[in-house]
Amino acid sequence: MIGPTVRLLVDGPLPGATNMAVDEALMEGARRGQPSLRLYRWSPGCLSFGRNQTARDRYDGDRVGSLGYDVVRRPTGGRSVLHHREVTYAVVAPEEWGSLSDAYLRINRALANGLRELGVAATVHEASAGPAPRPTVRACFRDPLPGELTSGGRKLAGSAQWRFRGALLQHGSLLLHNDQALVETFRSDAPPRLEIPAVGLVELLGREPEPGELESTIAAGFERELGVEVVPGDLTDEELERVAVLRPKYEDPAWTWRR
Amino acid sequence: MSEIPDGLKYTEEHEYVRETDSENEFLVGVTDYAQGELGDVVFVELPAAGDTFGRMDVFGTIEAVKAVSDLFSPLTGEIVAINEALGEDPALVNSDPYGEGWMVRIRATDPSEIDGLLSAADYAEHVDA
Repeated sequence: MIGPTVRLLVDGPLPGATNMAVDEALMEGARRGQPSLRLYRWSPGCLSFGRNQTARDRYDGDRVGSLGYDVVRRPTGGRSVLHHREVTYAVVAPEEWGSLSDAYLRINRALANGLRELGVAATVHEASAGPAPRPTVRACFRDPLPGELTSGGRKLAGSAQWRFRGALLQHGSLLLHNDQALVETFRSDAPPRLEIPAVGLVELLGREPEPGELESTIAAGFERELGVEVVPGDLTDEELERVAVLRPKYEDPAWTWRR
Repeated sequence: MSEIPDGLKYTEEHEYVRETDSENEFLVGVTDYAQGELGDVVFVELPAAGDTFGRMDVFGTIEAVKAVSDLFSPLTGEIVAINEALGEDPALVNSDPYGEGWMVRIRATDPSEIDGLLSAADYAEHVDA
C-alpha cells in the first residue's frame, strides 16, 4: 500500500554527515505513516561508503581530503559513490511499501518515469546472470545491477536501501556528470584509473538542467508511477532535533572507518 | 511457499530460535521467508562471543544486494558462539537458513522469554497477513 501523499523535501548542498543524519531522521516519520521524497546535493563533495563496505586501509582518506572532498559512511548497503556533480534522492517510507525488491523496483521506475519526461532514455536494468556482488572496495558505478537505473546500458543512478524497525530508506545518486573514475583513484592500492561504465544526465540531455527542473521532473514521475500526490514540505522541529542527535554518529571516524 | 519447520520458535522480525542440547542455549538465524525476501545475501555482520544483548537489541546486520537489514536478538543473553562460516560464505543463509546458515548461539539469561515467541503456526499466520 502506498499512502496518498508523499512529502517533498528539497535541500541545498549540505555536508555528508548532515545529509545522512537527515535521511535517517526521516525514518521516524515514515514509521508513523509519513513517506518522504528528499532531493539534495552535497557540499563539500563527498565520498560515501556502504554500511558494510571494506574501506579502512583500502581507501586513502588523506588523499580524498587533500582534494577537498569529505568522507562519510552511509547507513545503507552497497559500495562507494562520489557525490559531487550529481543529485541524490532519498525515499523514506513505511515498510509496507513493499518487499525489498518490490520497493526497489517501484522507486527506480518512478525515477525513470520522471527522467523520460525530460527526454532521457532511462530504463530499469534487467536481471543479470552474475553472482550478487559483495560490499568490497569496488566503486558502486562499476556494475549496473538488476533494478537499477541505466541508459544505453550505462549506469545512471546507484541506489541502496536500509530497513529498520518498520521503515525503509532508499537513497541513490543520480549523476549529472560521470566523475566516478575518481573513486578508484582514492583507493590505497591506487589502481590505474579505470573507465567507469556510467553516464551523467548532462551528457544525455546535451545541457545542464535548469535550477529546480530535475526536482519537479522527479516529483512528477513519482506522482505518475506511484499514484501519489507529492506535496512540498519542510522538516518538522522534531526531525531537526533528531538530525542534531544523529549527525555526530556520521561525523565520527570510528563509524566512517569501521571496516 | 516458504518453509516454516515445526518445533522452532519465531519472531515477527523473521528470525527463528532453535533449542540445542545445552540447557538455555539457542541457535538464532533468519527464516526461509526472510532470505527469500532479501535475495542473495552478500554479507552478515555478527557480534563477538561474550557480547550480551537485551531482547530486541540489534545484534548484527545482514546485507543482500545493496540493502541492509538489522538483526534483533530474540532473547536476552550472551553470545556463546557465532557462525564463522558466514564470513566466507554468506550465501549459506540463502541455501540452508535453518541449518548451516545459523547466525549466533545465545545463552539465554531469562529462558521464560521463549514462551513469548511465535509458534510455527503463529509465524505462518504472520507471514500470510
